[in-house]
Amino acid sequence: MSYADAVQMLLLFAALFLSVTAFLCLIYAIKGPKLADRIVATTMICIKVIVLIVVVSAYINEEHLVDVAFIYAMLSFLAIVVFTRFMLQFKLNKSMRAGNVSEKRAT
Amino acid sequence: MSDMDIIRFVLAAFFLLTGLFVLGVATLGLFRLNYVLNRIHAAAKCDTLGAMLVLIGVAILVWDGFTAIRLFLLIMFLWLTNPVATHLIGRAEVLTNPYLEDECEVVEL
Repeated sequence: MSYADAVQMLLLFAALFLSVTAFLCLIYAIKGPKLADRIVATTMICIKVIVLIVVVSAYINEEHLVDVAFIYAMLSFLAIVVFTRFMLQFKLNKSMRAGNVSEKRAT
Repeated sequence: MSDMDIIRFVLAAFFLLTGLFVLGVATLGLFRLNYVLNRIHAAAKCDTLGAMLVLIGVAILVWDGFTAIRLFLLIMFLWLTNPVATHLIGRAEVLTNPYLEDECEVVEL
């Protein structure tokens, strides 16, 4: 077993493990009771995909794909900020339309 | 395999496997914790500690050239931006939940 073979096996195991845990987070994003739970699961999927891109780029010996992971990190941060702003505006508009607090159902 | 290769492989395997363990435990915590504000703890561990360990492990494997510097820059970026994102999630949940006293203790300042 040479050095290159051992490194390839280790990176393959890491990539498979990351994709399995990302799929479990996706199951939670579908199941989760409220909106905020789904946003938390989405951030975890985004982080795992960033790490997965870096690991796969090391596996296929194409080192310029780390820039793709960087851009994806910036995009995921922007997406979470926009999600939470939208969630705040949406829920506050809904509560203003529904009337006073005592008649409102649980959000 | 020469000595330098063995040292590099063992060090990288240690960081990589520890980071994967942290990511697995964070996923388990996502399922088992009770309320959103508790699940944010699991998301924060995944973001900062898990990603840092795995990326340091990969950076040790590809040490020649500028890729390791770019990976450290990625780690710094993740450490600066992801706590802000999870704080915004917690803030959005607290400001829009009318039944917050059922879930956790509210202290008015």
